[in-house]
Amino acid sequence: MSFSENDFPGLITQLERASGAYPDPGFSLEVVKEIIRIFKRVPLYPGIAAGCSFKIVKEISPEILKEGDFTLVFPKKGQPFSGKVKSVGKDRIDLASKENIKTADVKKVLVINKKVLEEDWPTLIFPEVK
Amino acid sequence: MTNKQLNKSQIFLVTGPMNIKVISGTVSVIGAEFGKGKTFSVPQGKKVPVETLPSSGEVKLQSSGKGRIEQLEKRTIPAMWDSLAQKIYKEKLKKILILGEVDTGKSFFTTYISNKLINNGSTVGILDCDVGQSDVGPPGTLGLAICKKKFLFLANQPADDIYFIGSLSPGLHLTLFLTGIDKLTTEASAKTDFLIIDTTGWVHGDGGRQVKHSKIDIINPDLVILLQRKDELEHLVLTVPPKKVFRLEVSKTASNTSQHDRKLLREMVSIDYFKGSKKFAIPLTKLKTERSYFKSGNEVNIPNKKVVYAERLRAWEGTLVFVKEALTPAEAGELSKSFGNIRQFKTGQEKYITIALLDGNRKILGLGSIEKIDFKSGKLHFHSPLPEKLIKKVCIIQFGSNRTDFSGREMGFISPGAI
Repeated sequence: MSFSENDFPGLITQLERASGAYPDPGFSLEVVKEIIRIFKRVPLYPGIAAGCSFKIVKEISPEILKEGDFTLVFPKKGQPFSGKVKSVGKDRIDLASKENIKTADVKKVLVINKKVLEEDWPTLIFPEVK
Repeated sequence: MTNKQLNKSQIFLVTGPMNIKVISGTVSVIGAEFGKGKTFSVPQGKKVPVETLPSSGEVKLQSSGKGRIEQLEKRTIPAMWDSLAQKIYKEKLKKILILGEVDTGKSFFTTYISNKLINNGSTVGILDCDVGQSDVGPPGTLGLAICKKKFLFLANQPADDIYFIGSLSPGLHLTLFLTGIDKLTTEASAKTDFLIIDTTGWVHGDGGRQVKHSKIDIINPDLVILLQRKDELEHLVLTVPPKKVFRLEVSKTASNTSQHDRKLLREMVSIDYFKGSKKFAIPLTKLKTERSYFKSGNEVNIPNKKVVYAERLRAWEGTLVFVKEALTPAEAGELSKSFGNIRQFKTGQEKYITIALLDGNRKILGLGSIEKIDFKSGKLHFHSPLPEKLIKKVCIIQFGSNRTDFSGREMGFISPGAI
């Protein structure tokens, strides 16, 4: 048979893609974790988790980074680096990993959007059963 | 009360809430004929076309209600539907499979064809396979309605039997889904002159193709009807003999339903099903389970304060362990030396799991929603709309993968295989 009977192969393909899609392994790992977190929230719909995976990473302007965001920073010079944002100053970004960069030296930043499921599938959002 | 006189071959759209009585002549409403003295109701939020029959004389209607009646310029139901109904009746095409994407009017078409056949004195079975948008039976089930009398709304048809899937999508439940179709098709074939199978709109991709091909294999339909806008279903019937395939264009009045509205409609059916639910408790010793590891092994004693209950499963399956709080990796590792793979299930996580309630002959009596598995009292606490006398017959439960609260609202999911 050439058809797969469920969407798990597609989900694995997206996990594989995400694991090698970024120049920083720490950022790739966070993207993979986010895909898995989405799947655990909708365990009957691996296809939806796979579909959401394309929207997890988005490019934003450095000025709108927030404390707690997980970001991948591409400097104008040097290697990209990733980490959780500790603080965003007027002209400077500090990561919890103690790395920092002047906003003027940033070429682009990527962040992980943790609200993809809420945005795309609001009908699948339920309170946690405790 | 308003009286209205209709001319030959006029079409009206009746928007509910409205009650109509036929004073003279005959009208056709979604294929159902209503003659002198007959009445029908259109509830709020529903619209139905009312046609005077060409053979009917003067038609007088009496209407009451807050809805409205407006004349349409032309017929919205294609004439081809009538010739198709005739073909099905004359050629005794017993099993009719209807395929179409979502929002292509499959339920409306099913209603129309069913009524046309019922008008001829036939008994018509309707197998509703749309587990996520059920008309017959509650969501998460396949529903079979055996219809001898005309009807206007499929959703008002009581289910004569249901098959529990426990999920709003067949995606991860293909085996159950196809088993249910086979079981209900067999049952319907023995009790009906015609069987119309109304399917899900899942027609593309690996799963959609596979499930539709399997349906064709299982049902072996006498006729496959494609409700399509262009050629979006042709890949499903490439190997079906051409004389068994009939193509219809989707009505322009078929409208799209949003994700949000789909959920609302689904929940309305579920809330209606669970209306008047009561709390029940059945001793675990009286119950057998299906579709779960729980109560399929042998109870074992595990000396750990976090463990409430444990069952050794078969062969390599390991041990199902109900815990008050998660075992640490070290604790789980230590236990696995004696008990194999440790499957942890946190107590409380069983809340709202949808279950099917069956009697000793494995006949499904209805659905319920778990409140608690109480290991101290040794009872399963659940809510169900079933009457006490049926609850007394329950001795098997089937676990579902979706959660429903005690009033019928959707509450999420449980991973298949977790319990």
